[in-house]
Order: sequence, then structure tokens, then C-alpha cells
Amino acid sequence: MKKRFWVLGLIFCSLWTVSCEEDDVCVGEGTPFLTVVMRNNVGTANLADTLTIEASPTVDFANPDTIYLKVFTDSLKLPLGGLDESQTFFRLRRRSNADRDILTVNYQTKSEYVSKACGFRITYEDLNYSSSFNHIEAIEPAESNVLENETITNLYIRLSN
Amino acid sequence: MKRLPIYISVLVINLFTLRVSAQEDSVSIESQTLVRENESVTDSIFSPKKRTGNLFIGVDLFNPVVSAFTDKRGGQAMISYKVYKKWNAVAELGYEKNHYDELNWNIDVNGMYFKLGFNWFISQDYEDASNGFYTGARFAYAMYEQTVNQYPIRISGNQVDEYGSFPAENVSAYWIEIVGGARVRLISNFYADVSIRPEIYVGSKKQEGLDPLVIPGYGKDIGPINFSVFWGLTYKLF
Repeated sequence: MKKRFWVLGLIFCSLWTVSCEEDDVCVGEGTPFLTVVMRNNVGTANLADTLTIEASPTVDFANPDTIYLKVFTDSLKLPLGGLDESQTFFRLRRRSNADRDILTVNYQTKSEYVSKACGFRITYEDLNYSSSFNHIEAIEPAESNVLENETITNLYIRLSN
Repeated sequence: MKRLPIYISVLVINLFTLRVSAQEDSVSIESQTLVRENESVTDSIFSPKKRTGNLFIGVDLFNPVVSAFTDKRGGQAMISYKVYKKWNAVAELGYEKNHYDELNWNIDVNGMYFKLGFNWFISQDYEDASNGFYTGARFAYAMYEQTVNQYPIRISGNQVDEYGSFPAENVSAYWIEIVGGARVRLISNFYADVSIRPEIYVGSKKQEGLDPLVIPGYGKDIGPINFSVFWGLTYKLF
């Protein structure tokens, strides 16, 4: 008889403890950034330089977001647009030069479920690039034109000397 | 907020366990019952069945109570048939409409769920073998319509940047329930049948890769284990 109450008691106790368990904090992976690496004009080595980069969903850069402000680096992580967007423009300024380059990134977006706490993230497909060539000598897309993991470099930019 | 229904359920179950323990003197005859059963093998004239039931039908009273406090709406009915000695086959059928509105999600579900399984009586009352404590298991399957009115998308960092939505889609989910409960006669052919069930989520047919956040018959905040309570009023047909 006593044993039975112990069992029932255990069931109720476990009910309480389990009911508190919630995973509301997002620790999953988010939407990946586009990884761009700067190289020298012959593409033999990475080339770090002081760069200022602004992003905008429109070509007129009416209200740009500053991604990097005079940062000395050879690799960039560029955020692309939301679910309904298919184009993002980046304005690159090398050191304090007056002439700037515009890099255009076209893509298809796809939403992907991560977890209850994180919701969905966006992955990008059919990436293609175009740019102006003031300080950019050439753009070289990497093999993959899919962006799911930002540790993989998607684009190499050759800067002029 | 989330605990409220659980507090109520625990209270309710406790009340009923008290009820059962009030009949302690009759339940504690079980040891003698065993002896008598042994005797009955030798003594064929002796019949241990004084008042026992084979077929029970019932409805759940817990969900209507819970629906007063939460978004959950629906009901559940069950049928139980004594197959062999302490074994009862049980089928349950329910409908539930529920809503998930947390962590930037907004999901509506509604649909039917079916549960098939058995109850095995651990101890039975000698006077009425329908009274007693039981344990059991269920296999449960829910087929329901899910509408994702809003889902969060994280673009940069750890904040929600925008929202999307999916139209209604028919999905399904299945899980296993472990049952522990008691049945006790209230009046004439009416019995109270109370059980508590740890539910173990097994799998589902997903919409856009989205794990179910609310399943009719299973509940909200889908973890590996949920709990549900059945607070049934059953009627003995024969």
C-alpha cells in the first residue's frame, strides 16, 4: 500500500520538474553572411587594406548601412538581404580614395527551420556577382554559388595595386 | 501561466487518489484476492466475479476545465474493453483546437487524434474488479491542420529581423504514452477514471521542415517528454 503512494508521489514530482524545462534561448546557427576575401592583383596572396563598406538594397544608396568603417582587413563578412529581397549592393571605398566600387550580389532566398527558439534562418542560392572596376581588378566567384555556411569563402576580389 | 493547468491537474488527481484511498479497506484485500484466486483453481464452484465490468465508455472532463484557462479547445472520448483477466484494450478519440503564441511564433492547429493501447490492472478490488490501479501504454496518432500565421526569421545576430507565414497544411504526428491511473466506482454504473500520462514524442510529418510546436492531444512546448492528464467519467455498459 505504501509503495503505491511512493509511486504516485514520484509521478507528481517528476511532473513538476519536467514542466519547468524550456529551451527558449536561441543558440542555433543564424543566417550566414557572405564571405569575401581580398587578393592582390594577380591573385597569388591575400591583400589586406583599409576598407569602408556600405550596404543597400537599392542602387541609389539612399539609406545605406555601414558594414565596415575604415577597417584594415583582407576578409569581409557581408550581410545579404531578407526573404523578399534578391539583390544587395555594396559600396567599397579603399582607404580615402574618392572613387568607389559597387559590388552587386544577386541571389535567391530560401527559409530554413533551425529550432523553436531560433525560428527560421535564410540561406541563399544562385549567387552571382557583378561590380565596377575602379579599385577592383577582377571578381572571382568560388565554386559554390550556394550560401549556407559562412566559413566557406564565396567570392574573391582582386584589388588593383 | 503555463503551470496553472498542471497545478489544477495535480490537485484534481490528488483529490481522486484520496477518494481511492478512502476505499483502502476494500482495495487492500488484494493480497487475499490472490489467495482466493489460487483457491478458485482448486475450487471450481467459487466465483470471484461479484460485480465486474467488461465494456466501458467515457469522456474526458479535464480538457473542458483546462479550456477555461488556455487556448486549448476540444474533447476526448474513450472505450475500454476487458480482453483477458487484468488486460483491457483501450481506444481513445479526441478533437483539439490549439494555438501557439510564444517566442514570436503564431501557430493554429486543429484536428483529430487517436490513441490505441491497453491498461493492465496492478491491483483490483475484490468486490468490484473494475476498481483498482492500472498501468498501460498507448500509441497515439494525430492528424491535424496547421496554419503558421507567423514565424520568426533571424538574419543578423540574435534578434528577429522579419517574419514569414505558411498557409494551412495537413500534417500529422505520433507519440507513445505511458499510462498510470486508477478507476473507481462513483455511483451505479458511473466510474471515475483518472490517469496521468508521460508522453514520448516519436515523430511527425513536418511542414517546411518545421518541428511541431503544438500537437492536438500532445500539447504545447514539445519537449522529448510531455505530460497529459485524463480525468474521465466512464460508464459501464456491461
